[in-house]
Amino acid sequence: MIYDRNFFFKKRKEIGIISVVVIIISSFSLFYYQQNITEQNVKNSIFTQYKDRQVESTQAVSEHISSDLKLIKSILQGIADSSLLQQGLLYGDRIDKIMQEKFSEVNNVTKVDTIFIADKDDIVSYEIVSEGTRRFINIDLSFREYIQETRNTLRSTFSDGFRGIDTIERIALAVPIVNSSSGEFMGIVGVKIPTESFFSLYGNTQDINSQFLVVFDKKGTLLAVGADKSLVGKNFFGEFVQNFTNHNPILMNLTQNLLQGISGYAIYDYGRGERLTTNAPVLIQGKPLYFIEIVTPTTTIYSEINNVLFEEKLTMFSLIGGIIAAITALIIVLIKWNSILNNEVKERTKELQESNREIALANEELKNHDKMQKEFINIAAHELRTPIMPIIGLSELLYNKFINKNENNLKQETLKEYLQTLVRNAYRLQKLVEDILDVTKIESRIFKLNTELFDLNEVISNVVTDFENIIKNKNSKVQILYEPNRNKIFVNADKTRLTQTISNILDNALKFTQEGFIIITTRITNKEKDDKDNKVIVIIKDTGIGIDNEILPRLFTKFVTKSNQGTGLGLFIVKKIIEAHGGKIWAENNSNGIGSTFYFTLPIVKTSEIVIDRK
Amino acid sequence: MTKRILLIDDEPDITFTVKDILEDNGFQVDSFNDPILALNYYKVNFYDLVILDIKMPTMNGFQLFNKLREKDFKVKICFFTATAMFTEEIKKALLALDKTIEKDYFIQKPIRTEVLLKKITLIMNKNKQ
Repeated sequence: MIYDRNFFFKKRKEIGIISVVVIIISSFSLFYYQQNITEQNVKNSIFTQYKDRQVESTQAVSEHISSDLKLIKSILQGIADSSLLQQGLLYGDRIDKIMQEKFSEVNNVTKVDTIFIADKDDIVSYEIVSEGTRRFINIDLSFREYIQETRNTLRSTFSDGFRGIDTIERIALAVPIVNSSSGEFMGIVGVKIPTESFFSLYGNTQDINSQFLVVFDKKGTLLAVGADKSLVGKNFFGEFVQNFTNHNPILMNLTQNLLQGISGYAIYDYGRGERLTTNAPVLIQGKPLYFIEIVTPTTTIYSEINNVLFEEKLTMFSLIGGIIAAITALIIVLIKWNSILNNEVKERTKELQESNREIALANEELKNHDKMQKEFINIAAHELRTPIMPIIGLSELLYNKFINKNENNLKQETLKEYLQTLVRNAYRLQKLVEDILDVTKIESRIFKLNTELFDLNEVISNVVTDFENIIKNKNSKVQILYEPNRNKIFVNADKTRLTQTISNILDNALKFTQEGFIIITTRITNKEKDDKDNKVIVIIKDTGIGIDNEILPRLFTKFVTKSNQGTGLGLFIVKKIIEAHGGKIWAENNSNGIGSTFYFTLPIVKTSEIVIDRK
Repeated sequence: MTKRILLIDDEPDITFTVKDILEDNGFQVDSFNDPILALNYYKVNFYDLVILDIKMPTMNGFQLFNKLREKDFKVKICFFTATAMFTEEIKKALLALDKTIEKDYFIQKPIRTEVLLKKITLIMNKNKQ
């Protein structure tokens, strides 16, 4: 468990990056997938819309053509019904006048290149042609189906496509001139319409690469076609056209249906790109006379769709991109934040551990302190009680002898010994009480020095003199050697405390030295005048038993003693005194294996400074 | 018959004082500052009471007690010490040495002459039983 957590903990950056990448990839692929579906749907829907529109517009074009043809028919009907023609006048100036008028009227509607009048024998009696068009006056038109049909039915007739010698494909509209009172057939008034220029008014009949118009007559003859000029006049079902369309069955089926008057649409490809074709018959008086097809290369539709989709896609991608950027930024911020938090936690944990360690240490110290306190009480109790015993005991003994028993014959020597013991123990008690008080002062931090300026040589000399007396009294075999420094050693120090210090060290030396020497020397270091760190080293060397290696490292701590008499407080107090003066104290066993040496340093005051002080 | 007491304490001033007090009160006292010396000197069936200090440098009171018991299983031994109070710890140590040792066998330094004599008499009387 812990391993796994550590693993994730250590790899959090990599995991973060991987998850960002995974999120980006998956959201893009999801988006792409969704986009594809949507696009397909949109494409289909747009395509359907487009197709529906085209169906509608095909219908509209058909109606437009139909209405234009009807208009021409009604103009021709007007001519046929005009009084001149009703009177049998089929040519001449007056006819010409009307016909010129009507020709331009028709041409306002649509492109018509010939308007003609034929007599009852189908001979052209009058004709106006547009410029460059051949005239056919006196030509017999009876071979034309539409002429025959008009005459036979006495109804106006729209012809299928036909081709004159000028090879221009035309359709014609023939209206019979019928006497309104007798109902007698008097002739025909008609127009010839060049199909290509006519139908080009309703759609593109030139360019195969964009949407174009195809027009058939009832037989399937192509009256106009944008796909190819050469197809005009050819029958759709003929070899030529079928080769052109590669015998495409869908187109075939569509066209067959159309020629039966059924409008529809189809998508197919006969080798020149996919097409959408919608078609509708052109109805005149409910009858399908011509048939139009509007053909659109689907690429043009799709390119329109794609433009729309591309914009859509761009918007979506930038949206997703923006979201991903935001998520990435968020994740980066989270990772950063996490790492900051992590560091914080580490820091705090470290601090906590540190403080725990400190607490443990403090606890340990407290325990030690407690132990030492108990030890101190034990030792202090023992040391304080011991000298009291002779004091009480001997006082009571003397009291008993002198007061109760009235013994006056006590030996002088015994009495002296009693009194000496009493005084000695009283002093011992005093010394102990002083030490304990000093320690208490040091520990409660109210230990203070009463400093004054004096020559250290004097203090050492005084202590040495005292100890020489003690040695003499004890009949000790120890000799103290001291040569005062030739220079005065001025120190700004507490004289009593320094006396106490030197006494303590000498006392110690004397306690552990049975015979030999205690040698005291002083040395001034850093004699350079400008040196602020001028100090004196006091060296006290003895030839005693040396310091037990076991206690050497803790020599200056409390209760450390090898003596039977002593609390182990002396050197502790000495160290505190020297440190309070800004000095240092240390001790070592002599290299020759005999005795030990104590060193302590004190800052000294330069003579020049003393002069200034005294001013 | 004069009672004989052996006194062992590392402090010369203590042995000096206590010896004189006891002798002044009619006891015969031998005193030693060195436990080993005392052990060597020890005479079986001679002393009525042995008074031992506990805190001594060469051999503590309990060790000395055991050594003395090896020599003399009969003699009454009491402890004379300045070490703290009669704590549970010391009591335990004493009981481990001898089940007959009670609080009465423990004499606290410093002690007034009167009280010391009473205690010694008490212990010696117990001895008679």
